[in-house]
Amino acid sequence: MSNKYYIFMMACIVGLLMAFTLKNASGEYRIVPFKVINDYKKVIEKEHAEIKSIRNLLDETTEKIEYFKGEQAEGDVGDALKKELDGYRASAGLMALEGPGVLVILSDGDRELIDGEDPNNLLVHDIDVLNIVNGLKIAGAEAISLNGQRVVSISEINCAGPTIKINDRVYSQPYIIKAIGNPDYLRAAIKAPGTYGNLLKQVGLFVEANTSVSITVPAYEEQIDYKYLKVIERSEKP
Amino acid sequence: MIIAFIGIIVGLGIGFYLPITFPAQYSLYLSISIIAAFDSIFGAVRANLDNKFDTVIFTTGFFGNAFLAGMLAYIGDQLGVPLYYAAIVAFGVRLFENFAYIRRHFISKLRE
Repeated sequence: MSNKYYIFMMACIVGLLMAFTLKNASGEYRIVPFKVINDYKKVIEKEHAEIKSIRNLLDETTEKIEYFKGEQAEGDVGDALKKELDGYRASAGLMALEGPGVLVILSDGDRELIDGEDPNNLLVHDIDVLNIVNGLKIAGAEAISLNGQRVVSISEINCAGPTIKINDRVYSQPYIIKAIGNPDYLRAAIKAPGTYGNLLKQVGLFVEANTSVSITVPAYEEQIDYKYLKVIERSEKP
Repeated sequence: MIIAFIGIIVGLGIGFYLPITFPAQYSLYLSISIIAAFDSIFGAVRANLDNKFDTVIFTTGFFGNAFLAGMLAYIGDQLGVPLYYAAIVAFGVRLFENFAYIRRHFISKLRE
């Protein structure tokens, strides 16, 4: 009899456990492995990080609004906006800029051709100018102009017969490149051994780079008329 | 045999009445443990019919099997291998064996 009583007790425990499980099993239920749970955890963490960054953005924007409100109280919100706009225009290349930098002069070589040598070797090509400009960019140039044309994000440097086309305008040599940045770095980007400018000089072209404490780079003058661009509403922080 | 079913039904009743729930996360381990415990109950009924019932063996088997089955499922989950199939198959086979034995015992008793 005591055995039966004992079995009854244990069966009660099994019943209890089953009841607990059945309570959980209400509704649609299937086994979820730990891996899936981990994956979801990762997704949730990512979402949390995003929420945090959005909160930061919100804080920043609130700060900005507070700043503008303060300006408004002082009565010169226009000045603050103008200052901000000028900053954007300067980085977009729509304003003339001034600062220390380097002035590069690029011209065809004047040495005698060796017998049978291709005269192209001594001419300045669009690709030469392009490489020089790229070298200046690598050296940290903040604003570049070529023969008075500002190099902006949509500027082309293209071959046009004996001339070079930039910003849809044709220029012949000499090509004068002005760049604002650290003058020593910029000069080194043209003159240092192994650079493209040094290579051109060795071939026989005229390459000259002079540093200056004050280089003036003009503004981009063409009308920028975007046809295909669309601003995405959800803008990242500038 | 009948006492075991009555026990399970009573346990179910109590379980549904009590306001206790397990986290759904551990539901898998619990269900594997239930299979192990269920097998122990059938084993106990069979041993009782043979008059070989031992309280210590039954208790250790009941809790030990349930714990081992739950652990197996947990380890399998951690490794990404469904190890709990081992518990399901092993205890499932034993469950049916025990049930067949009990069934034969009662049928032979009835025919006497």
